[in-house]
Amino acid sequence: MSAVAAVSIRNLSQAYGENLTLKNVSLEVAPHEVIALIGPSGCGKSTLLRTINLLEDSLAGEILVHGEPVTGEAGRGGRDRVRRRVGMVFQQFNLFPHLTVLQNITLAPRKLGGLSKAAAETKARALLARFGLAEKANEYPDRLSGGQQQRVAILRALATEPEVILLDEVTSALDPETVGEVLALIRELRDLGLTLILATHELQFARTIADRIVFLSGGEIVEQGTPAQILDHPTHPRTRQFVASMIHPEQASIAENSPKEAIG
Amino acid sequence: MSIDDRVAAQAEQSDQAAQAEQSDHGARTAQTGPPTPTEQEAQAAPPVGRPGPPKLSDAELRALLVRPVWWRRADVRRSALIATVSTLALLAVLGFGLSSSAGWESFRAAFLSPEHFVLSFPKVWDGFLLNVTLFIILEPIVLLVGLGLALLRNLSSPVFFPLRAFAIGYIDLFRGLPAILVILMLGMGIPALRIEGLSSSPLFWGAVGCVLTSAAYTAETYRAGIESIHPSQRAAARALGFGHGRTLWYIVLPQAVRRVVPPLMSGFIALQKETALISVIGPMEASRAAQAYSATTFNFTSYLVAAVLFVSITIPLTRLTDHLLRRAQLRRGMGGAV
Repeated sequence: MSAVAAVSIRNLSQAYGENLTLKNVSLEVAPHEVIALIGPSGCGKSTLLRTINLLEDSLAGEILVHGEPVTGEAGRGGRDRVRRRVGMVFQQFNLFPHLTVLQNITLAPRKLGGLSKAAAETKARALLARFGLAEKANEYPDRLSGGQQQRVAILRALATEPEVILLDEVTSALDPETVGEVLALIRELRDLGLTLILATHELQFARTIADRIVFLSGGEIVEQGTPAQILDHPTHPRTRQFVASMIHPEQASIAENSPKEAIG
Repeated sequence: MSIDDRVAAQAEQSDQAAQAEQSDHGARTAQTGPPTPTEQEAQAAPPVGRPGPPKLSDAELRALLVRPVWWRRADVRRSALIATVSTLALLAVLGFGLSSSAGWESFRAAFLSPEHFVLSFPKVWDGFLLNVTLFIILEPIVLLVGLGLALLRNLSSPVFFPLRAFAIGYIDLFRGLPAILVILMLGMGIPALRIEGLSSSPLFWGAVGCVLTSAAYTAETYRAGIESIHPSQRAAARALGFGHGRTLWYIVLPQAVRRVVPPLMSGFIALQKETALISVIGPMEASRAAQAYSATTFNFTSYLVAAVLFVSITIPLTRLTDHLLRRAQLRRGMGGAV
């Protein structure tokens, strides 16, 4: 483990209005590490990712990206600089519908990265070709399947050459048969040596890709450890209950499985 | 036998078969009471002796497709016929009612005189050319000023608060004022100031009044478009590192403008009619020319000429707007959520 963490979160708290969504979350993510955030809906997985990328304001605590504080005094310009080092992929893809696949990928490198149009396009086409989307370069997003759109969204984030990529339940909105192609792409990202933080409901995928699994519940980190520890031998009762209900959903009872967790 | 006949014949046959079966079934239940389990099983199976619709070849299906809906479907054909007959009947009643009214003859002479139509046409036409010139020149200006106002209203930095406040105040003011008042005040007031270098032409100030009023509405149209873009689009742009301004310029605005093209067209049609208001401060546009003609001849057919000229431009544009709207709705329906 190198000296400086890729992402360092220290006692981070966040709230939507009166609702505390994160409470004193602390997490050190080493460079090239793959972290999977798991937990029930509303546990704060997505909020944590959005707060790291400064899409949400934090209430207290600090976030460091490669040792540089990005919360608080970083200011507007500082925020946009940080976002360029941290890529994000959304559950609903959020591709720009008025731009082609190629334009979606080249927009940020051209306008923010200072690349010429030709250079950005060469790079984007190379990315598309490498991940089997070469013939889709000039299509508009609404002509693509969900899986293809999500892969383009991942490449769009990758094209800005971020050091960290945040993936927010990127397979939740996909048809089951296209989930595989997106997961395969995420595996490639790990092999490229990127630092990944992913919120996911795919426990088996988390087991195979993650170095560490973090279980969140009620806005707090309840338990973390290697996939084997968390998925096979969870120690905390809430983790045990969650993992059991994910692996055997047909055995869960209605009472103990409320969809949204309240923070006490 | 053509495909239509075949399909129709089959449909009729199966209708008859279904009816026969129903009445048959009714008779049976009346005789024997509730059906026995074996009878229920027989019902679940496809009825025997009832031919379904014929299997059509690809060529036959394609032949069906090329026909318009009204030809394919008898009920649509019937509705079209009923609509035509009722419209003709209404027109006949209205025509009879009007032409049998006491003042009909004098009305026709004063408003519908063919000779006066021909005589006044060149003068009103000359005036109408001024309207056309005006709205062709003014529309691009209105679109630009409106966009500028909408952008000012979207500025987020506290430094630009005065500009934002100005845009909001401007839009409130000019959306609230009747256009005719704006034109009168500018056209009468500013030339009276006699400021060096400022135009004193009523035509110029009338045009300015049109632009000021229309731009306020246009700005609101743009704003509606900007606000209709889903926040997730902004989030995606911000996550890539785009700041507020560039997010608006590269991501939000291109989508917003596409979405508001139909309402912008409606605004354009409104502007075309607004150019007639300039007549209150003097310029000889179509309605003023019509008025001048009627003042010397005591015949009002010239107004009809002006009306026909305006409508000949606005109605086709209205149809085009409707067409664009429908296409936009269709596209959005197919595109799904973004």
